[in-house]
Amino acid sequence: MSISASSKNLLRFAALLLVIFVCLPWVLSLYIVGVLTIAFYFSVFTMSWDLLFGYSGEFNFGPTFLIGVGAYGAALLNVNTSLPLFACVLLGTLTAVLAGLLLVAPALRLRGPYFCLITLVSVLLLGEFITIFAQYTGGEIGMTLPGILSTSGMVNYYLALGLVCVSAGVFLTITESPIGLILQAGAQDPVAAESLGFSIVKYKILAFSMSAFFSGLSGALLVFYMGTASVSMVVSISVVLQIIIAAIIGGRRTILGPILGSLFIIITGQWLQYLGQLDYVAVSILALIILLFFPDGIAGIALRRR
Amino acid sequence: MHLLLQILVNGFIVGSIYALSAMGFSLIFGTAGILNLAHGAYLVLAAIVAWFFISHLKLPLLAGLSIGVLASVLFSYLLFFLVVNPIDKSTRIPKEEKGVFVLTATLLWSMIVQGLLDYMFGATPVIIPPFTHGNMHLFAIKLTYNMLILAALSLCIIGLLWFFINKTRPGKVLLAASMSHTGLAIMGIELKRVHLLLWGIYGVLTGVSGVLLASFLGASATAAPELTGLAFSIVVLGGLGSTTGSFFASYIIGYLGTLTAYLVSPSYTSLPAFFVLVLILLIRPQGLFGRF
Repeated sequence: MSISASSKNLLRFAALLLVIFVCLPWVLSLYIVGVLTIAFYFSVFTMSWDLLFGYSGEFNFGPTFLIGVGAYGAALLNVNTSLPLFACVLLGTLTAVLAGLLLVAPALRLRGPYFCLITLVSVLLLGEFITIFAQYTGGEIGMTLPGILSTSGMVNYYLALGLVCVSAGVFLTITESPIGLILQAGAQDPVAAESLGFSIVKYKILAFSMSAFFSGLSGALLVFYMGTASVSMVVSISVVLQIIIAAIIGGRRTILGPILGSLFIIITGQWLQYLGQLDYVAVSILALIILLFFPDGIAGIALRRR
Repeated sequence: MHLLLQILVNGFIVGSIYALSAMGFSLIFGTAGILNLAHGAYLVLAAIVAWFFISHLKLPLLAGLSIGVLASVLFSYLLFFLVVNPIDKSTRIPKEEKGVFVLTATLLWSMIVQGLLDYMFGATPVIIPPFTHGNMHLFAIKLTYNMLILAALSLCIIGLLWFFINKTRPGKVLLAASMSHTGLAIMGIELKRVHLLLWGIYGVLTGVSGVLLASFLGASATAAPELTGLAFSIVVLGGLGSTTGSFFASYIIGYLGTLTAYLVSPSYTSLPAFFVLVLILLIRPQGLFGRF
């Protein structure tokens, strides 16, 4: 298989990128550093999604279900208890893992569009619940958090970059190990994979809990970075779309590609903000064009050339 | 007793309009295999365009409604030519991932339509003026004539659709397309024309149900995902691809929503539909009358 050969190239590229990103904040304005920090958290969302879609074959239309549960879990703890910040983040992340395990049961039973639907509905339901319990969650407006990660833009930047490196490392280790192959086998033909003696259930649980863990962790850290938690930031369907598009633009089934896709989506989004209300429409049109004409994404094009 | 009657009548009217709005969605899935996540946006599009022409440009009601339906047909063709057909024809997208691409692309399309509507007409909910004013009393409950007209119109159009599909030649072609595209092509029928017919009908059905829905409940651009979710619940409960199933499921969902609105709170109306969707997906994914 050419998988590891091509991913070695990708890895070299990633190392280069990492060096650039470590140096960048020393030359860029604080505003751009802030945008990149958000993009880093976002790329963790996208990588987590890619683990489920690219490897496990589960088209999760509700990544923000996991992110939102993690983020709101941590935020609610922070507002209502006196627990230290890291405990809130940790407990929020654990709630997200539980939410991830909740999705395993339908994932094992349902195929194709049915699974998409149930995950899409999970996001809609979470949004409804947040609106219904508005006195605790702040409803549509969102909630302001007393806790904050750090007041220094630099510290936040390196913290987010660190999270990207750790999660990319974990995801790459999983997907490059035999586990990645078993996950892919389970996605292509579960019966054949089971007959070879692999417990698909076990591996699906692993994939979902890893994906949920990093989604939740990144979601929780993001709200403490921003100082607010709101539906439009961590739950809404438009965030779901941005994640899926970022993964497709970057290149599915590459883990590292989604990072590029996320940077692209977030930076373009910021750049197009002068369009005001129409910025999201412009991003969607651009995403649609990329989806139609470059379905393999940036990493896909780079890998195919070789 | 009074409340019970009110719920029975309201649920029936809501159910009838829901049934019409789910028909297009069900048709396009059954025939072309496309799950259109922009469905809710199309309902809202027709309603808002119609509302704009009626209340701002002072067009007569029926003319305004027709323009709303036309807008829906136009966008339906745009969706087909710009999004669905290119993905279908694309050689670079693996076959097994095409469904996923269609879902993502239609959801994006929905966001584009919704964003444009929001930008051009604002996010405040709009209500299409009633067909007639006045109301009647039936066993102590109040009924507006408009509600009766809406339900009757919905049922008539569903009847017409049934007649068209089962009794006319182009309708039978659509029925055949839901069974096998290859079979149709072998019989010498051009698939392109089938698609044109299909998306045209989809636009009309969705446009009409959008304006009827807005005449009863109002419409706003932000409600689009919720309406898509509602159509999904109905179609999945009835069984993907089964129009009979969708028809009955609409009343179940309509009554559940009405019950919740009257007995709990109007703001929870869409919740039971989502719970039903989750339950049915877990227990019986093929739905009540499903083929898949």
